[in-house]
Amino acid sequence: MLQREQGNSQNTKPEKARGLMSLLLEVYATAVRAYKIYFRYTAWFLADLITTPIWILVLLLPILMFLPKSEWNNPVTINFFFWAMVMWDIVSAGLWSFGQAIRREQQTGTLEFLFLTNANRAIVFARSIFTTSLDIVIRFIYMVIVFKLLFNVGILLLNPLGLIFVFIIGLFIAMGFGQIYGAMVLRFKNVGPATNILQFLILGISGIFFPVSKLPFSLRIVSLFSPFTYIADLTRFMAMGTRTILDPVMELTLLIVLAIILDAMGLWIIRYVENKLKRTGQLGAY
Amino acid sequence: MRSLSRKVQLGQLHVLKGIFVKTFRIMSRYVGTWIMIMTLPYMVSGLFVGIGYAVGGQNAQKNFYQNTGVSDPLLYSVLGGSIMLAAIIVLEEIGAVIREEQLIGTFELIYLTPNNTMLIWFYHIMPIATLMITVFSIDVTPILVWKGSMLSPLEWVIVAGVIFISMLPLVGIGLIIAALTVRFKEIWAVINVINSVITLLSGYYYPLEIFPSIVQAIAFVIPTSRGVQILKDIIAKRCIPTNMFEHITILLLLSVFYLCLGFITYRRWEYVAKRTGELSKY
Repeated sequence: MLQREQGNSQNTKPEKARGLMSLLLEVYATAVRAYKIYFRYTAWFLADLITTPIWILVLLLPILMFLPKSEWNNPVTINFFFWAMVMWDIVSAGLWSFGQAIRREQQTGTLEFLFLTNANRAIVFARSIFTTSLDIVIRFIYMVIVFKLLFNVGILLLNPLGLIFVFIIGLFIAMGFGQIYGAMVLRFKNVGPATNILQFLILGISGIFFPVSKLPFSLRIVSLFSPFTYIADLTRFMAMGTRTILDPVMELTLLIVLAIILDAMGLWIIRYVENKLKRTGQLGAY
Repeated sequence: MRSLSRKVQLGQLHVLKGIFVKTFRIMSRYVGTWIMIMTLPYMVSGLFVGIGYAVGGQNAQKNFYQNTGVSDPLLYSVLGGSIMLAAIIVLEEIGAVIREEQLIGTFELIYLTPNNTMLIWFYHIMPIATLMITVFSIDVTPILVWKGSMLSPLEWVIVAGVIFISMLPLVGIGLIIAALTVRFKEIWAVINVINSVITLLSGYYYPLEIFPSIVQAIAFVIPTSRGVQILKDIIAKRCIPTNMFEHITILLLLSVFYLCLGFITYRRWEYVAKRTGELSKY
């Protein structure tokens, strides 16, 4: 009995190591594939570089219309907008990557092949996270320069390490929601219109571009239930030193707990939908 | 001979009808997308107005009026947003028409029909413009009704005409992009660049006067900038501009210029492509 138990524990270690190795291998393979596809389309990369400052202006100018001309170069307004854009870039990478990847695999006819493997679904469909991370770094540097040139305003960054940590937690929370959204794509196929509506709802109630204290009371209550409210709040706190809704440590703890719960839930939902579709034969129906 | 000529003319009407039916059938498949298109100007405007009031505080509306000359930010933004969406969709539909046909394998089939390909691509503007004018009306009407300042039938006709004429030059630009399809496979990247420039310089959500004079001069040749200006005057400021005739003439001239440029570029590409076999090269 004792011998068997010892034997079992000896067997578990290499199995766990093998499991970890295969997980790393999956991450590596997914990343390589993502970058290969990414660098194949240089036109998109160049188009992004050209259009980013233009779209920033298109988004920022209508808001400036509500301010007197003398305040158009106000560093607080510009910094608010800048960090909101960077944060939203990161969050939306996590939110939509799974759904988009699943839809792409459906359209190219490779989804069933991926489901024939025993690869981790979260890793396989998170491929655009790798390329988007590179995109975000490039865009960040680029946007700092563009903002300086366009508005002659320096970008505040008080606590870089804290900010990176908030971004990572924010990305994981978004990935949790992203997996639920991915499961919806798997089930309902074309959910593009829902994506846009959802995006505007989140932007509206989570105080991404302005503090939630400016919202009407009823919406302010709703905003407190959105994790993105705290991601935006902590982003501004780490970068600009603004006041937070709750204690910063409490907000951070809340986000970490949420990230763990949402990611576990997301993965479970994808598995559940996949199994259900497999049973009903709808996995290959587009 | 006369009956043959009449048949040819009627044949063109059949082609136009065919394109109308095809476009409407395809678009009717994506009801969700159309609901999104109709609600998008409200969502974007809601976002801008919400953020605007949040950052502008009590003086937000006063500042808006001083900067734009319009007292209703929602109407101003929904109007601009609807036209922006129309322009983006027209450019995407016309610019990517070849790529779309290539992807679904029907591009060569169009060349097998006894029709003028230029006219086929040009006719695509008709159903798209009809839909976009409808979307524009659906979007703007609720605000006008709420404000109690509905447009007269004549004003609606002028508005529809201005939208249509503003979209015509985009067909020319779209044809130039379409001709580049074979060279740049990822044509949507090219469309994205052109769309962003047109959006910035059209002044959908702000007056162009905020730009330096050199940028304003460049915006002069962007067809949508003039159209938006007229529509803002008629709908948001409730006055028909005194230089309306001048605006319309310039819009028509721009339409002729861009359409000719588009036709020449496309024909040139088509001529070379037929000889080098590029027509079927994806």
